[in-house]
Formats: sequence, structure tokens, C-alpha cells
Amino acid sequence: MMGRERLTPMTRIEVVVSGEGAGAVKDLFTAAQATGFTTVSNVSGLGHGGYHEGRLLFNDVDSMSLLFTVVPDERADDLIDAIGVLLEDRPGVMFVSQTAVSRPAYFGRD
Amino acid sequence: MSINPITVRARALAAVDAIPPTFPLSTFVAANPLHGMERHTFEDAAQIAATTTGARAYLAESDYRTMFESGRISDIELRAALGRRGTPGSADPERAVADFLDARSDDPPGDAVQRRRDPHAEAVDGQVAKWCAAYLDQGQAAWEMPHRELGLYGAWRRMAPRDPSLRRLAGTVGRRRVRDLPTSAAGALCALVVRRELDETDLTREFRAAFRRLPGWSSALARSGNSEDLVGFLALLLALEELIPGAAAPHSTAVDPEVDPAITRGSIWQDALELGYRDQLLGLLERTTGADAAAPSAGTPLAEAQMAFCIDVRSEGIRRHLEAVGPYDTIGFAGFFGLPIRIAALEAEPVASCPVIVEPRATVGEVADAAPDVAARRHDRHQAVEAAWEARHDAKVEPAAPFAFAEAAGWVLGPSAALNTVAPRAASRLASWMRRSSVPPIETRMELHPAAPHDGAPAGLSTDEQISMAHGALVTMGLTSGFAPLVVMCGHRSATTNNPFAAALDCGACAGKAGGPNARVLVEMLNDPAVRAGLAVADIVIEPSTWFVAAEHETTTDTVRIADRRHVPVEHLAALDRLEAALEEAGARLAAERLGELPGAEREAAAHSTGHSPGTARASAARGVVHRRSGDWAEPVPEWGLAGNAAVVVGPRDLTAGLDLGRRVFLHSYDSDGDVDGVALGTILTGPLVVGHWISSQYYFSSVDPDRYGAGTKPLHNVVGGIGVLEGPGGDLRIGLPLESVQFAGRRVHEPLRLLAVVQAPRERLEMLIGRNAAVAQLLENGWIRLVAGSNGNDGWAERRRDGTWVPWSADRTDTTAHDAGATLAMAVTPRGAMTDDDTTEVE
Repeated sequence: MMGRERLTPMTRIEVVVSGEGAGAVKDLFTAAQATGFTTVSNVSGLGHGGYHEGRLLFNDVDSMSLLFTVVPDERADDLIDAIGVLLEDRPGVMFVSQTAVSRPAYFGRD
Repeated sequence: MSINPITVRARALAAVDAIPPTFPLSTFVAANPLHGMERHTFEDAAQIAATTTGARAYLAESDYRTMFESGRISDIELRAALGRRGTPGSADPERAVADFLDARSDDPPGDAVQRRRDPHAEAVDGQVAKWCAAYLDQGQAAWEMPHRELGLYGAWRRMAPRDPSLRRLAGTVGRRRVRDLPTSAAGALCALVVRRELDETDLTREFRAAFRRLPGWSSALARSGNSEDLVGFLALLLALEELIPGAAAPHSTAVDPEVDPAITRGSIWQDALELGYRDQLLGLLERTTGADAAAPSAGTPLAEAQMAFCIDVRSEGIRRHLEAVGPYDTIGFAGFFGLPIRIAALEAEPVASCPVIVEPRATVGEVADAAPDVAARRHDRHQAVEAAWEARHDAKVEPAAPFAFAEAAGWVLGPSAALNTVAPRAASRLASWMRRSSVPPIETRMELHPAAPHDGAPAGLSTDEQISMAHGALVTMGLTSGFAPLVVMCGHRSATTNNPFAAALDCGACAGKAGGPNARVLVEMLNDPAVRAGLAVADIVIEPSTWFVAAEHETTTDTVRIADRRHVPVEHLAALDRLEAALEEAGARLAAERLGELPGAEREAAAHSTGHSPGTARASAARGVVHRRSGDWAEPVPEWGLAGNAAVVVGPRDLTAGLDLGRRVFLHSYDSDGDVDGVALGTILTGPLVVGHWISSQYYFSSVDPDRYGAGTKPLHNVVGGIGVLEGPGGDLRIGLPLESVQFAGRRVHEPLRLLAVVQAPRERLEMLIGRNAAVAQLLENGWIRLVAGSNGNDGWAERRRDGTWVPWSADRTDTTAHDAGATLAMAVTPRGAMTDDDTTEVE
């Protein structure tokens, strides 16, 4: 059994952005040396700009994507700043939260 | 916020919205050059473009004045446009028009702001363009750029210290300083912006300004999807500005919030022009007998065949003529037939064959449908011919080989060139014969099933996937019952010679490819009993007596070819024969109709029109003319493509049947009653409507400002690999359409209008869908698309204003007294006009 105290704290960054902007977010994850990320395409939901339909049959660029990554805390601030810059002029939101992982080496922490 | 490599990269990625989307020549499809500014209103985007690049988003005032004086824009339309703006004085509309006309501005919008260019900036841009060309070369150059694996910036950093042109510009010491720059693009960019003392929060604006200096090359880099090269582009540009004395550009300034009066005037004139077209089109629709038509014509049982065409405006012509010739119903649907696939043609690599806004989800291969030894022989000959072409190319580009090549091959290439020049149609036939002789045609089929992988490509679709795709296609085109014995899926392609922009004339819904293969794939599915069984479960019952056939409409010659005829059951052959005859007649009529629009075609036809009755002679001569243009390597206007496009009509064919819409309207079939949950309409609004908007915008901007948004004139084009064209020996890669796609001999052929969408559907359903799709809402509310809708057709039309309110057309129409109906029709449907007269707008 593994208690929470044996986990390693890290920062989880989630971004919801249009399919067109997903590539830029992935670029920034990679540039921040995130060792991995998860993408969920065609997500739906209500935002301040209205409802966003999920899977569009004939359009993959206007539907929204959810991307998230987990990075060590010391790398998080630069990445958060960078994604903030990216979202200044385009639709999208970012959520930042504390998380904990059992295998820190997978996330770039020895 | 500190300046570090990752925030600098983020600023570069944020600035990408200043880059116009473009595509390689081989897959050229239309796109809105201001796509990145669609979050702004059209007027604000016009202001930003004018301030930052001097580009125009409206015609010159003199052009609108000419239209006003000729009656193309009426004072009623101008009054309506002014009224919408709440222009001061609008309490007295006539006075408002008079004041507006008195306050003429001679400055074309955008031209008041000139690009601040100087020789140093030109030198920097020239260097960046040169290195981008070398870096992006796709095998055309004799010598490949070394160190390309290091990216644009890395390769330049390694090569620049040996570049004599940089020594001339920067001096020996300056050139040597290249070695002192950081090795990574992001590191260099970071260091350069710090040395320039640029504020971090201003970087996005600075980078946008940098991308706008060379929109063509920055776009070519952006489409590779490698952000490292975009960062490298900026690092390269800023490094050169630092190295070349006097080249450092002044910091870019924020866009002046004060709107240029010329832009305000342009927006009013443009509104007036578009209101005129709106009312002319709705007036035409008012004439249909099917005012209360709700059922799709696809369900009419009397039709001997139903034929689905692409929504492309050129299909309107062939559909109209086919329906006039015989008992045929036609349907409009996106020309990729709803199939998000790559297609690997025989002996070719897979390529995407769906709209560029759709990610392909599977690959389908074309395979030989012949005995193995026949297929193997054909494969060997194909390989030999490919090798010969490669050797010919090498002989032309190797430094020492051209002279020997000319000695060896000149005796045959010389006469060939002469024949191409003096007898293009004969040359075209000869070339076709030689192709058939060297690599004989072979029967093929589309292999859909995963059991047959194709040359290692991930191949095939499961039966369930096929059922799903076939279901989506049939539902979206409104063809779910009442199938005729013969149902034809007809893609389209063009056929031109020596035309780098050939793909721009092919099917945009198929990513600039021919649409015939997609039609063959859908037909293969729909004739499969297992797929039909799956469709029947979803209440789409296709009787065994119905057979699907694929075809392809060649728009340059208006020839329609049936594919895979050998698969058609014998009981359908007689009907297919009749359909082919009808298509031949419809194509001849359409070719004759187009004669008046193609430069010099009437004269050429008259010279060859001998014997027969006048009508037959003209149709026959028209066929000859369009085939000559198709094969002529010196023909700048083989066809007009989508020039003139102005609107999309989404509704049953009854709404438009029998009307001559002048090949200006995208027609998408839609059965409102059969789509109560709005799934099909949602697909149309987010797919075909968006693609239609991109096409409309590409033509619009190439027409209003061909210098900045167009590709220049064909005779000066210098093709750069498969990337794009330069106009002349160097400089920026050109974006947009060639001049000969929108004007000819100084006369504007494409009347620039933003897309008008006319949808026959309940407004509540449209509101529900707009509310669920923010991207569509943005296009409507920012004035990039105008939407008119009604549940019951003509009497119920209303326009959705930008604020989301619906204004009944009956209370808003401007055509009741503005134009004589007959004259209006002529003007509305033939924008290209007769190319022998000079009564269209002269281009400044």
C-alpha cells in the first residue's frame, strides 16, 4: 500500500483550446521539457463564449481539444507563462493544479 | 515576465495568426488570407491589415463609384447600407446618400498607409527569402542546402559565414559575427530581442510585423507544422537586422484605434453591393414554383437517375443543363462525399482527399483489377517511364548536362515544342496517345477492406466504418429514401496544361485533388450488400434494383466520364447509355454557354463554326474551343474556376431548380423535414459553409488587392519546387490566386462579395446550432458571412444581423424599385460578362 506522503508533488496543467491551436500547445509542452502529455480531441462543453460542440463530422480544426501535462514544479512557471501568452488572443482556457505522481522519473525528476 | 526561450517561443506561436494560410501548389486550396483575424469584425481586420501592411480589404472608391454610375449599386442599396450603419443624417435617408456621395474619398482604403520600406529592409528581406527558398526546396535545386537537419536558423548559421552576399551587406567583420550567435533558434531569438531592448509584452506585435514582411515564406514555414522553423525565421530576420548596418527596423506600433475614413466608406459601399446581390438572388428564388417545397427532389420517383455533384459553383451549370435535357434529379454535396480518407492511386503515394479542415482517418488504395502478369508488366513499364522522366529532369538541372541533353534530345523536343505552340489540341492528343502507348491503361478498383494492405500504407475500412461513412454521406445530402434505379456520385476535376495552379481548379473539398476517386470509394461502399444491410438497420433501405455509379466532371471541357462501367449490371446499361448521352448534350450546352466568358473564345468558335445549324455548329465549335484551351500550354485562362462565386444555398433542389444562377452559387442539398434534430445542418454549417467561406475569401481578397493577396501574373511566375511561385527571380513567395483567376486584360472578372448563405431551415434550429458552434457564430457576428434563412422559402426569408436579431427580408429588401427585373437578372448571373465587350469594371 502506498500512502499519499510517498508520492511526489508536481504541477498539472490542462488547456482547452481549438483544434487549430492544439499544435502550438504541444510545442510549448515539448519546449518546457514535459516528458509527455495527453490530448483529447473534439471535446464539448460550455465556455464564456458559448457552447462548443464536440465532434464535428466535417471539421477538425474548429472543435475544441483538451491537452494536459504534468511537470515538476520548478518547470511549471515558465510553461504557465508561455501558455498564458498563447491564449492572450485566441479562445481557450488553462487550469493549473497540484497533483502527485508515483513515478517521478517518468516526469523528468530523478 | 522575463524573456526566456519558452516565452519567446510562445510569442512567436501567438503571432502566427498574422500569417496567411497557404498550401503547396500540388494541393492548392482556397483559404482566407485573413483567417487569423476572424476573431475581429471584418472592418477591424481591414483596419489592422491596412495599418500593418497597407493591404486593402475593399475596392477603391473609384471602383464603387463606377458601379454606382452604371447602376450595379443603386441609391436604394446605398441608402440601406448607410441606414444599417446609423450614419449621421440617416433620419433623412436621401440626404444621407447625397452627403455620402459628396464626401468622396479618392484614397483607396489601405493605400493611405504605405509600407515603410528602405533599401536596408529590402536587403534583409531578400536575404531571408533566399535562405527560405534554399531551405524549403523540395528537390528542384541542383544542390541541396547543406545542414538542413539543423533547421532553418541552424543551417543558415552554418552557411552564412561563407555567403559573399552577406559580406557585401554586413562587411567582413559583420559576417564573422554570425558565429557568435547562439546555436539554437530560440536562444538566438531570445538574445536578439534582449539586445534590441524589446519589451516582452510587445513581442507578439513585433513578431507579427516580422511575419507580415514575408507572408509567403513565413506561411510556407508555418504549414510544415514545425514551430522551430518559425522561431528560426524570426531569429534569422532579427540577426540580419543586427548584422547589416542601418537595417534595424523601427519598433512596430500599435494599430491606430481611429478607423481610417476610407475603410468606413469602403465598408458602406461593399454592404450596398452585397445587399444588391442578396436581393437579386432572393428575387430569383422567389420565381421558383416550389415556394413551399419541403420534400427533397431526391425523393421524386420519376427520375431515371439521380446524380450527386459537388457543391462547387461550377456544378450548378452542368446540373441545370442535365435537368433540362432529361428526367434526371441532381443533388449537391461536398465533393469528397463525406469520406475523411487518404487515397493511394495506383503506383502513387497516399494523399489526403478530404477538406483541409478534416483530418484523414483511413487510407484507401487503388489496386490493379487485372491478371497478375498484366499488372506486373504495367508496373514495370510505369517504373521505366518514371526513371526516364527523372533522368530527363536530372539532365536539365545538372550543371554540365543541359548542352549534351539538348544535343541528344533536341531533335524530338524542338518539334514537340513547336507542335504545342501551333497546334495545342493535336499536341495534347499526341501526348495522350504516347502516355497510353508507353504505360497502357489498366482496369483498377478501389480496395476498401483492411484485408488487403496497399504497399505498406495503413489500408482499409472495416464494414462498420463503411456503414458509418455511407450513412453520414446519405443523411447529409438528404438522400435517405426514394432511390432511383441509377444513382451517380459525380466528383470533379480540371484538365489544364503548364499550369502551376492546376490544383486550384480541382476539387477544394478533396484538398485540391480530383474528386472521382472519392466517388468511386463511396459507390463501392453503397453497392456492397453488407453496407446496405447496415444502412437498412438505420432505416435507409436501398432496394436491390438500385445501382450506384461513379463519375467525374471535367470542368475545363465539361466532359463527364463514367467510371468502372464494367461493374454495372446489364439491366442498368440502357439507362446508363441514355444518361451518358444526356451528359454529353448537357456538357455541350454548358461549353457553349461558357464561350461568352472565356477571353477570345467567341471569336475562335466563330472561326471554326461551319456547316450544321447555327445552334449545333456553336455547340460543336464550343467543344473544340474548350478542348483547345485545356491542352494549350500557353493558355492563361483555360477556365474561370470559381470566379464569380457569391453565395451558398442550402435547401432542397426545388428551391433553385430551373433557375440560371450563373455558376455563382454553391448548392448544398438539405431536407429540413428529415433533419429535425439538426445533425445534418450542423455538419453543413461547420463543414461546407466554412469551406465555402474560405473559397469566397480567397477570391475576394485576390480580387480587391491582387498585389498583396494575389499570386501575380502567370507569365512572370517562377515556380519554386512544389512550394509556390515567385513573381520574377526572387523575393517573397506569392500567396493567393494568380491574376488570371480574377481579372483579364485589366478587367475585373471576379466581383468581390463576402459569402451569402441562404438556408431553408427553421430559424430556431439555426440559432440552436449557431449557439453550439462558436466558430460559426464568430464568422456571422463579425461580418465575414451574411446569413439569410427561412422555413418556408420565399415568403419567410429573414437576414440574421450581426447582433443576432432576424430582420424579415420583406421589410428590408432593396430591389422592389431599384432595378428593372430583367436587367437585374442579367447583371446578377453573368458577372464575368461577355469578354468581347469592355463594360465591366476597369481595374486601376
